[in-house]
Amino acid sequence: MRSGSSVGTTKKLWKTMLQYKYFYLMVLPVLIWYALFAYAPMYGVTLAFKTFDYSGGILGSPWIGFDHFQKIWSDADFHTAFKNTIIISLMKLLINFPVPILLAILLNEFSRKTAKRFFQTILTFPHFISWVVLAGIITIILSRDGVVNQVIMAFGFESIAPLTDKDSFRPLLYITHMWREVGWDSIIYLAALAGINPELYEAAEMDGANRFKRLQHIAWPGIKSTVAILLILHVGQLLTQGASFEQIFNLYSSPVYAVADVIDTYIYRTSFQIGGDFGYMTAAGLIKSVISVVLLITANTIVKRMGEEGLY
Amino acid sequence: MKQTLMKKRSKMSAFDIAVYIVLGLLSLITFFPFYNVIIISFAKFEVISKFNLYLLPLSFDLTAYKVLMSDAKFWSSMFNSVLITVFGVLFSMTISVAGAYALSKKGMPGRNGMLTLILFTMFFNGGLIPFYLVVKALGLVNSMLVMIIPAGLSTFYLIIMKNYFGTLPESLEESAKLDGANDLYILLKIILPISAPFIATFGLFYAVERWNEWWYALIFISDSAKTPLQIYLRETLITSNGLLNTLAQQAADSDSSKVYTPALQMATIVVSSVPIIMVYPFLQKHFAKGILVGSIKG
Amino acid sequence: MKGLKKFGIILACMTMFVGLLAACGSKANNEKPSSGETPAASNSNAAGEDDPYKDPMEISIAFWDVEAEVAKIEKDPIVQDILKKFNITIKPVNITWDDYGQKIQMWAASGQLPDVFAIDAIGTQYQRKWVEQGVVAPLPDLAKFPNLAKYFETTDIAGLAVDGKHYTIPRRMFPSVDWSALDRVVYYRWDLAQAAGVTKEPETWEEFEAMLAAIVKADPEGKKITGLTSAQVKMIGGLFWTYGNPVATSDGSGADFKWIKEDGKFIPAVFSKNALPALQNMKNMYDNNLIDPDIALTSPEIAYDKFSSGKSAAMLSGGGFVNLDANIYRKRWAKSYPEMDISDAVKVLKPLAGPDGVSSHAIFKTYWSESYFSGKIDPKKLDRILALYDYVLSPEGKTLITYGIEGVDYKAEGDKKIMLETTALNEKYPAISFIRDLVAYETADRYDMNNPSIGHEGLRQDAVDYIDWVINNTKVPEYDIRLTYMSTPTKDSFTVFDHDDLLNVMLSKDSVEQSWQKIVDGYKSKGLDKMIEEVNAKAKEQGIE
Repeated sequence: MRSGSSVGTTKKLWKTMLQYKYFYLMVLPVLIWYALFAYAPMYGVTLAFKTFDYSGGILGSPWIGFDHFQKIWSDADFHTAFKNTIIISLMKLLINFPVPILLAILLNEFSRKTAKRFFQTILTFPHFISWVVLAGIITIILSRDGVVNQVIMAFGFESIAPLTDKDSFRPLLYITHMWREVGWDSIIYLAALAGINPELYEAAEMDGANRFKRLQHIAWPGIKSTVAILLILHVGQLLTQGASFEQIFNLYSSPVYAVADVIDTYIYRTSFQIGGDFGYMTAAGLIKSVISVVLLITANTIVKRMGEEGLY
Repeated sequence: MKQTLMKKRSKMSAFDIAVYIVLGLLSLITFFPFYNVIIISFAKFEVISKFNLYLLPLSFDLTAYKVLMSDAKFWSSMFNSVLITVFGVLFSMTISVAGAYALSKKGMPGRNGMLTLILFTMFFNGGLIPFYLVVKALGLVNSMLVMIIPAGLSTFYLIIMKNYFGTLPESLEESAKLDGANDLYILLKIILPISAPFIATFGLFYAVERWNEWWYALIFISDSAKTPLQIYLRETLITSNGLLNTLAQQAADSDSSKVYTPALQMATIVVSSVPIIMVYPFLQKHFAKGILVGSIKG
Repeated sequence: MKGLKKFGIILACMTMFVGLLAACGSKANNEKPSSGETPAASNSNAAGEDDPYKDPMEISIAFWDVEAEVAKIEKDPIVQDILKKFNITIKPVNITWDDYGQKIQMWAASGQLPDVFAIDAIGTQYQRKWVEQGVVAPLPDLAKFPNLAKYFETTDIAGLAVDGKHYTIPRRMFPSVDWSALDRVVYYRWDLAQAAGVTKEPETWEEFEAMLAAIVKADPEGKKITGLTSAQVKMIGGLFWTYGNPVATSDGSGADFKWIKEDGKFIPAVFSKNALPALQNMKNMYDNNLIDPDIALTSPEIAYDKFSSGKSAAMLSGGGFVNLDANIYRKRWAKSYPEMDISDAVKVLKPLAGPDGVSSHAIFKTYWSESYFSGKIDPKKLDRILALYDYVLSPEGKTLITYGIEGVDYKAEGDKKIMLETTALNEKYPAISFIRDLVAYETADRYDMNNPSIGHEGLRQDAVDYIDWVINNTKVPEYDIRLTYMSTPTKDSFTVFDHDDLLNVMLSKDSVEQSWQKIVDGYKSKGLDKMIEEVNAKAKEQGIE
């Protein structure tokens, strides 16, 4: 609402605000929540430039400028964690992002209704189980006395230990991630597909289009925008959720730190198990945040250039 | 191979068969580890010490379950999780839905500013210590509410919900307004009923989160009477502590000492998954139906 | 619209400001208690000549699973009496093995530590900060607490004082470092070894490896038995370094690495030239299938299960014979081998002779984990809890906790104590091990034929014989503990997690030289050389040779 005279604008503004009074009421709890739990603690970011002092708390801690960042720059473990975060997130994006889409399309094309529901139920089930439990299950299954090794040894091969093997740990992450999430992730795409007007399909069939052409020209455009938004969100979260702290934290062990330690697990270990300077940890977290924002903006811009609607 | 346009009980096409096979295999693989869990939970120490576990159950022994079910801490943590999930979902959904609906109103003054501030928090946060201090100042440390309130709002879901509300036709509201309804009434009596499948979906999303909650409990909760199920599971599975330690103090000839550790761990997993198994198919009906996550147009 | 945006930002800033105020509030809380406390303290001292413990006190204690332990006090008349004697009620602040690190760090940072808490923090950088920044309270003059004062006379405990004051009470396990052999013992199945044709109990590494190989090959019980497993991953250094480099053994905390003199200067023993042969030996064992392939994921209960059910030929464990008795014998043996006497079937490996022919064992501090007192503790409370500690360490307290009540649980005959009670004391008085462990483990006391702690008499005899053998036949090599406690800028934040490195070498596909070189290079990039320089310089200053 732009207009010329400021007096007129303020009055109009006030009037509009009154109009929306119920909406302000509705949004108030959310705003309070963010104020309390996201913004009030925000001053803690300054710790990235200080060294933590117990007697003074965050406010009383002395400033040390960019010292932490310099140390991070030369910290080999942080570099490893950073590298791993990127690699694992990207690979997950590459591998785990397309598959739910394919699954959704597959399920959508499948005509047997009850069977479809049955399969959906089973494939979605693992998502409801926390990584704490799944890690316990995976550990037992892959242990030397576990099923996998029983079968392998029955065939005469040597037992394997993928959980502690640097070459197999990352693929294990991708596979187990797929196991847990493919069904769940496909729901959003299925919903988008369900929203496509069935008449479009009918018309296409009448025109003689085969299944593949129908996919290309009807299904894909229907979910393109969903895919675009989710892609942006995933890229924006490459450094944060992309590498799934919960999954790695519950599955990893020291032999695989070199390939699986990610920024979040590194921060966790250094804060709580080694007891490092909290300021150092905050600095690491800050680096992560800044880069994530950059990634998000980049992804969003690219997607918009490609003609899709972005996040904002 | 032409199919009839009405997808009634047509004969199976080659495509259908292929899909059956693919999905069938996937389902088998997905489910197999859980099957394994169940078998192990029924294993007996004496049997396991003689043979290794194959693909078929070797014994059907309920000791692990008996031991587990007699642990008061198991039940109290299960109960806590149920409480947290129920109240957590209520809290989260109430403020999320109200907030998302309000934020979807493009005409509301200040809306864009609010959205920016909210999005900003997805990436920047002050760190664990100041957060801890805020929670402490609110008196929530070591209180079960810490797993409901501070843990209870997801920006991600909020944004998607807002987008969804934005796709609803204005005509709905306009006709109601003509009848004299105010915005609150519209939200409660018109918007909510129409969005039921959608609401159900996000209720489920939040429920899963609350049920699986362990991080906040780890940092904030000390009293074992207030710990949720996932912490109990962590102790049993990862640190081999908790119940197993208490068992260590008990007499050597009681039931508890006869239990095979992995069996006990698996039994814990099975029993704690029961609530999910019961609730899940029931809810699946709702969200598998038309979720108009035109979320994305926005 | 623009105005509103500005408004929104101002609002956000205001909430951040409020957050700052909240932080200020807790900062004020972080400051030490005001002097108003002291007059009260002197009052109670003056009045309390007849009963110094007149005022009941509630003391908050954070200890592993303390909630469960305190619940047991109800059924334990001995502990109830002790607490009544000092008029103390314990307020449990629960921590578990899984979360104690996080919880205590958070409490320290937010100023809400309980009165007393337990953690293994000696040598870490954060513990130094705690002492410097007043997070933990110094102990007062110990003249009132003679047993406690005596306790602090052991050399490596005395060395913990900072500027003449003690800030922590470590939990002693042994009287001397010889005894740390008990903290990394290998239980093995002698019966299976014999079934596989072995005739002599192993005394050298060759014999040990040959025995494992024989058992794995023969697989006498047909269970596809594996070789050596371990209760915890961080223990493996405690065994494998004893192959020629025992001073490198550490307890897994990362900050307790010891120093030796090599080629004229002090270096951490872990980086000695004796490291490579030990690593090569370990890798050979792994490559020859003498080590459990799942060792990296092991946990105590799983390892005990494996060993007791015959799935592992040997297991590395802590807790010496006490543990063997409690976790293997009492809890599991009867289920899998009801006919077999455990002391015939299971033996404990004597410290093996390495390439230099010398038998070595693990070398640790004589204590593990410590009690700390919050910087904000009321001095009266501190006095009271120290009185309790003093009692537990006194001969009277020790007798009570070890043997029970005279006339009821045991009778005294001259110097000896004859047990009247046949059930394990732990079951009759479920909280006594807690009250003992709260102060100090004093494990050494249990290696005595008169001490009922090790239930199985055969094992008890084995235990006594074992420690006698160790003391008489092995010698702890030279090293100076002062170097471990020394503080220099680089050293303070330098950690060596040798078990992570060992696992790396063990599981790597590279040769031992290659993996180890990579690891050493990693440490160099973290300042290894600088730290060595600093330590040597300071050592020279302090006259340490």
